[in-house]
Amino acid sequence: MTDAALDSTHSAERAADDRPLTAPERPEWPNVHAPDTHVIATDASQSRSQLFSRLRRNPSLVAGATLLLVIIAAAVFAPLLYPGDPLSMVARPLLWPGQDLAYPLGTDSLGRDVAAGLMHGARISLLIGFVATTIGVTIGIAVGAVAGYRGGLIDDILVRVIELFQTVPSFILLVVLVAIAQPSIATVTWAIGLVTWPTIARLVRAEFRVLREKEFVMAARSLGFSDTRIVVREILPNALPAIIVTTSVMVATAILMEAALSFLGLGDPNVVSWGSMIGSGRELIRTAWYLTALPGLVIVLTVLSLNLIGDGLTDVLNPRLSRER
Amino acid sequence: MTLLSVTDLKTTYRVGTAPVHAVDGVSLDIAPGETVGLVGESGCGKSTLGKTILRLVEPSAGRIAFDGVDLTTLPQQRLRAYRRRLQMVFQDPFASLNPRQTIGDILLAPLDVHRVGSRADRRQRVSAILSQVGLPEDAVARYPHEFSGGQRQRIGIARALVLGPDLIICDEPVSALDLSVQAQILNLLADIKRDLKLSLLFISHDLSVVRYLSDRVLVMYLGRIVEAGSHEQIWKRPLHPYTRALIDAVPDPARRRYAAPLPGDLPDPRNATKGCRFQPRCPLATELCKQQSPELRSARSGQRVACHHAEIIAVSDPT
Repeated sequence: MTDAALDSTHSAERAADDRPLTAPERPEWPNVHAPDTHVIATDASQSRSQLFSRLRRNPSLVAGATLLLVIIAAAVFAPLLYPGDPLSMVARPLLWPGQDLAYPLGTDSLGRDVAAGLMHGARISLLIGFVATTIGVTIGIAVGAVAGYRGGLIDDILVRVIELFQTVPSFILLVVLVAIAQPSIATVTWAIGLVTWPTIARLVRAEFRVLREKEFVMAARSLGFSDTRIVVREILPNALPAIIVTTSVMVATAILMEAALSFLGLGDPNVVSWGSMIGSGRELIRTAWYLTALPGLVIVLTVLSLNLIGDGLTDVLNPRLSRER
Repeated sequence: MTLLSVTDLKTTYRVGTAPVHAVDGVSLDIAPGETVGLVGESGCGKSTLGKTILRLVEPSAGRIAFDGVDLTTLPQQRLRAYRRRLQMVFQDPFASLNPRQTIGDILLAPLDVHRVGSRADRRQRVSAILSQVGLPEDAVARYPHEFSGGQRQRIGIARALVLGPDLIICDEPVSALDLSVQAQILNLLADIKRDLKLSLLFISHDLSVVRYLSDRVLVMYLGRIVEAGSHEQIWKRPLHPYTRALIDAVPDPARRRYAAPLPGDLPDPRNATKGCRFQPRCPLATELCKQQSPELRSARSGQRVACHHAEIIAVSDPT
């Protein structure tokens, strides 16, 4: 159908496809009709649904997403299943899991319900994980985009700033930041965001440096697009797959950082968190090992789910493996 | 009357600490409706020249007068208004289209940026352009990867045309395409040139491609114009030994001349010699060529050449 539409203007002079073409002598080649006019691939709606089916068929992505959904569900339903403060003492201390069916995962040395702690802890871990990553990714994209797109002196300065952050061990920096700013959910979140942005900034800068030299960016400049439009509409969408993959791993890192801070007693003292549960259980590790093992297991599962999602997304979205490029 | 007048343009890249003069003092004029071909081998600076004229690469010296306005000193904000009138078709049709935008997005964006007409006008303009370059109307909803190389180059041409420019710089628009598809794209460019009365600067390494479209031909070697003339003059009576070598390299069954290939490669532009730049590879080189760089001078009836020994070639000419 497309063929007919394309060739209608020259249909009178059209040559049979199987006949060998003679060398042109004149500037006009009315006899040449190459297979140029055939549409190769399918239409856009199909390619979009193809992406979703590729996402669905990826085993690690499906496993990771399922696991993460379970943890998110636990966080969402925590106030319904365990109303009230999970830090309040509700039963005899050091009940083992299964000993009292009212407290399926037992109680800690102060008689606090471990199951309630884990579910409420999921709220804090996920909240801090996602918000801190959002902060980190936003700063990272902004810095990386400016450095990568502008280049020159601005790039040099921003790269030095990034390196400054990266030469200091990020966890030490995090501890210092939190210690200065009094631990609370907000300060911990901001501090994690502030120490993780260099990762994404480096990535975005590298992607932008490659993409800004592409001919389609040249074309956008020759058409008089503003720098903002080129960055947001032309370059960023092409850098997005790499950013998304890194983001999922960053959430896992942020959750681990929060757990480590709470373990050290630098978390918000007014809320229960997986890290603080491990911290308070560590003295009883010989007699009541479940107090450290259970929150530890939950952290491992959460980080695992996010890493699985990251792996799956790499497979599906990685620009170097994707057919589209 | 000239539309574009480039005077003594220089573009210098910095490679490490050594400056590379990719374009080294090029002057050229393009009249309205005229097609000028620019030929030279890979690495001679012809693409850089094209990009410098559009200020996609900043010039280091010289003047680019477009319709009487010097573009080299124009601030970015005011340059944007001239972007509408100067467009470019790129070499690689696979790299020159954003893979994440539909053809509709790609063609509407320039109209949005320059606030051309109403929304309905813009859509109408896009479908008109699509049919002009020979693409089906339903192409607007598709992505670039769904098209073949030749079709993508049609999209590239459509994008260059959509703002209604006065001058299009075609940077090797067919060299990435199959031979048969090249013919289609060249025919399309010829049609567009005839219908829209556009000026074209047609950059190519292939003289036989340039010949079909161009009114005038410029031959470039290592950042400089070495010969200029009508395509007839260049093709039939080349005066510069480099042009001669280029023409001899074009396969032609009718011509029984033995095509001696040029010795050596394009020298590194970093260690440019004092004399003629072509001298190390030139069959006619003398002591004079080593000492003094020839300027572009008028030879005969509008043909200009930068060679000390152009007369020898003119005399030895079989015609």
